[in-house]
Order: sequence, then C-alpha cells, then structure tokens
Amino acid sequence: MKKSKKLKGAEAFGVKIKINKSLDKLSGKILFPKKHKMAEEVFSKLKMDNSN
Amino acid sequence: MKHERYEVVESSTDKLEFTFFSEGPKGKIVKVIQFSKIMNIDAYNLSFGNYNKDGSIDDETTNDNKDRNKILATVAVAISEFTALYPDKWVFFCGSTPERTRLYRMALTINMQELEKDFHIYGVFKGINTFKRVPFIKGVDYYGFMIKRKKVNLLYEKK
Repeated sequence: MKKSKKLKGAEAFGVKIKINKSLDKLSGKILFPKKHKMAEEVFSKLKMDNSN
Repeated sequence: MKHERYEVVESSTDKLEFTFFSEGPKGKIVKVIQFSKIMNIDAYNLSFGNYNKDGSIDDETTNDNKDRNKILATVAVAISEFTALYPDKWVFFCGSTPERTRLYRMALTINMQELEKDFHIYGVFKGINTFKRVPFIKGVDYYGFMIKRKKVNLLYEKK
C-alpha cells in the first residue's frame, strides 16, 4: 500500500523546515494583536457567497 | 512560486510560528511568521514581521533590505507547510496598510497559476459593518484574502 497523493509542504519547494523547540515558547501568544483583531472582526461579520 | 526564497527556515513544533533571516544591504534581520487561531472558528490569521532582539515584534517597519519578493516567497512556503499539516483550516491575511495589502495581491496574482492547483483563493471586501468573501480575481482591490487547501484524495492504493 502506498499513498496516492501527498500534500505539498515546504519540501516541495526545496525548503527543509527545521523544528526549533525554542520557538514553542511563542505558541499561544498572539504576536501581532492588531492584525489578529482585524481577522477576528472579518470572521465575525463575514458573509460568504459560497463555501467549501 | 518559482521565485527565489530563503531556504533556512525554522518552525515551532506545532508549525504555528516560523522564523528566517532576511539578508540584504541593511544586514541580517530575523523575520517571524505566525498563524494565530481565531476563536471558535477553523481559521487562522497569518502575520509576519521583524522579531527584534529584545523579543518584541514589529510588523510596521519597512526594512528596505531589497528582498521583498524573496520574503513573500518564503511566507508562501510557510503557508504551504502550515496548510499541509492543517489542510481543513482557513488562512486569512491582510496588510497593515492598503499598500501592503496590494503587495500581497500582487504576490497572489504572480503565483496564481501555481497556487490555484492546490488552494481555494478568495478576496474579502469590507462593507458597512460587514465583510464579504468572493473568489479572487486579478486586478481587484480587496481588504484581505482567505485561502484554504483544496480537498485531495488521500486514500491508500495498492502497489
């Protein structure tokens, strides 16, 4: 058995992403609060003409 | 996405944060990309900016490091990596200024042929106290953008 299709990640573009555990300390923090708020506003008031 | 990109990229274990160095006449600048989860929705906000030595983040400074397209192509790689891990999540992004939003629109337009193979791409219009999502069309000014992986058949097949 083999996978018929694989989702293209960074490797498909020749980029190897290295895990840096020191970045885990950023998880859960919102680093860009202004932009995050803008996105929250968009999704709270969003009308979609179609959906997927 | 055939553009030159930074090939040394690091990420947190959950692939919500990515960092890389912008290199140019202004020196080496640490860039951070974050996908932050929007409450109660299967969607993430994408932002990126400078990761300063004191730990502060700055997404408003223009570095003028002459590598704008290389940075955008690297952000596109991060989107690809993130959505490969979270294929059912929406990613929203917009610029901190209309000029930057237009820059993102240009990046989408330039890479459209490649991107639409794998992604649904939408533009977001801002109305009076409302937002509307429509399929992305080249040459139109949007408030922001939403993308999501197209569903693919991940069934296993016999050799």
